[in-house]
Amino acid sequence: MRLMRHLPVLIVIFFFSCDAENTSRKKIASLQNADQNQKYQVGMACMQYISRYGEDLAYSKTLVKKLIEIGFFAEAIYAVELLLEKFPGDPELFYLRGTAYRNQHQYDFALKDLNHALKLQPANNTFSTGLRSAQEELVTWNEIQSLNETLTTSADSFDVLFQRAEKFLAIRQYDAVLFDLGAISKMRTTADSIYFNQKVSELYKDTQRPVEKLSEMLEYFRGLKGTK
Amino acid sequence: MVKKSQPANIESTQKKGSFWSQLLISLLIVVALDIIAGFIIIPQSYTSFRTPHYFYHHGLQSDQDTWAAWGSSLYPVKTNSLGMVDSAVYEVDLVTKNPRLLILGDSHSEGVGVPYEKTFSGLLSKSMKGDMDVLNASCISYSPKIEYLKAQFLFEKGLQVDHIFLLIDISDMQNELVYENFQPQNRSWANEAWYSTKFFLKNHSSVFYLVNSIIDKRETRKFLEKAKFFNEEGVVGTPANSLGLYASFFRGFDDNVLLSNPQFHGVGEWYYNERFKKLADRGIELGQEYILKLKAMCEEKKVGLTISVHPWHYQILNGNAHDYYVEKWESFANKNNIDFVNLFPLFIDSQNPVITTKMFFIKDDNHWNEFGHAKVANRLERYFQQQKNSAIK
Repeated sequence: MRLMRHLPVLIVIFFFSCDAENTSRKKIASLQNADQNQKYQVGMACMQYISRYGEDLAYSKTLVKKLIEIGFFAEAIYAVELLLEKFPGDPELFYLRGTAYRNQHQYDFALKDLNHALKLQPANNTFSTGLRSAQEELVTWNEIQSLNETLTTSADSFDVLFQRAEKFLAIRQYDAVLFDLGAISKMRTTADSIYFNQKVSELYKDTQRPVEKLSEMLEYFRGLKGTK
Repeated sequence: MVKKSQPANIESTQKKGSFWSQLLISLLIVVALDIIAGFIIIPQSYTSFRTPHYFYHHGLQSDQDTWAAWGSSLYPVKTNSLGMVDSAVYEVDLVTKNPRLLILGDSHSEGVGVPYEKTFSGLLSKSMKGDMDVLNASCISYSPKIEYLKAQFLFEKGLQVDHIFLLIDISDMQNELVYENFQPQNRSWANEAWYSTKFFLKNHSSVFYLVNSIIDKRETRKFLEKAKFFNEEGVVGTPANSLGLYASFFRGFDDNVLLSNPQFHGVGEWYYNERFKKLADRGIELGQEYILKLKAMCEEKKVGLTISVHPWHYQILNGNAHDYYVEKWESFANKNNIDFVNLFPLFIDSQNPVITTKMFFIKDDNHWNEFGHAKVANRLERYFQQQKNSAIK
């Protein structure tokens, strides 16, 4: 009887909340083709939906994927944490958080989550491929850390930085490659600096093929190894 | 005559009485409608817990449990009875048996974009539980002047602490210039009540909210016009919600020449630029004046004081862990016998700087992410452990 008395109010609240959830979804849909300047609005809309509603797991996971796609890894990690409170046993949530951790180079956390996702769903190919690729990346990452250690003791850092740039290219850290090559370009002659600056401006004009451009630059500096 | 006039008097008194009661009822109805309308039209605000303050310029409202936004991140915020970010809404005992640490700083120390439990103060509070209680009175856009006023306010309120750890931020150079003319108003019951009422009305009254948002929008537009550097959405790569907050801290700062100079808004690069180095020095000097005032107050109260500095992206990319800025603060601290912690080496080492910013900072932002906070917490924990060990020796 008591429930019946409050039923109209509950119905109004239910419809109001349904409508708010739909509005939130519509806002996200309208931002699907947003440009780079609107990335914060996209990120915020995804976080708003997940923090306020997030009952539709499949839809929420597409939003986490969107956050990862636009590079908001910290937000993706927190969004997954919120979703895990409601769906603690969902394997894909661990996979997504592992992917976000991996993108932040937090490999301990990444491997823990990726392993857990695979443990929950051993036959999932995406999870096993993701885990394998993260493990391979970790090998390169550890090599980079060893190079970092030699960098502090090495008298000529050209060779170390060059090797590090190659390894960053292998794990698709293009900005890091550019930074190291920039440092290398100042170590020998002015011509190297000029070459580097020219190539960087070309790279910013043609952002479609960063790997080819960076490989070309690495090839140039490989030729300078051993010269002083 | 007297007898005759009595009923007329009663009638007029009754009329007067009914007029006032009707007015009161009408007012109550208007207020009720205003608040109901407020419930419908006031949207969820991610800055509702922030409030101006008559004594320390601005701060956080006490006893809040809400969500905040930073960039594209949404994160939970809770404040204690003293209006400090904390793990829960609770009444802070002004006096405790445990030693107590008070953290002061700006947005870095407030922990924008990161849930409290993952900020360095949250982590420190957890790891030092039992040894030391941690309170964090930091807030966005604080600088030594406001931090000094905040500490003074808390001390006068009766709060007892054993040590203050103040994190000096690079933006303090700019904030000190902006707050140079700020005069705290007297601490009074009236001021306290007026600011609390304003806070309530802003979040509940539809009329007050509408008027306030019109004023806010106008002020932000004025700021954007002056600072030609910005477009309506903010600088490319700057979220609009941070820009609104940024704009609000420049109210009362009327140097339009500086405001319209894009370099003025790039405070992280001031001391690398010959033209802006003088301004940087002025900002540092103003900050140091207030650190000395804070030190004197701490000495009087027998409270320890430590200051620290930490780098922004620009400093990390420059790769000098002991640069001009660090040197300025370190020599000041040494000269005045203040403990100093340089946090630059935490983020400037042999690692590629681009990777460091990616690992420890919020994307395209000078603030730490949860891993950056963990790094700082770790360093501070070691610092306090060393302090404890040397005190035992």
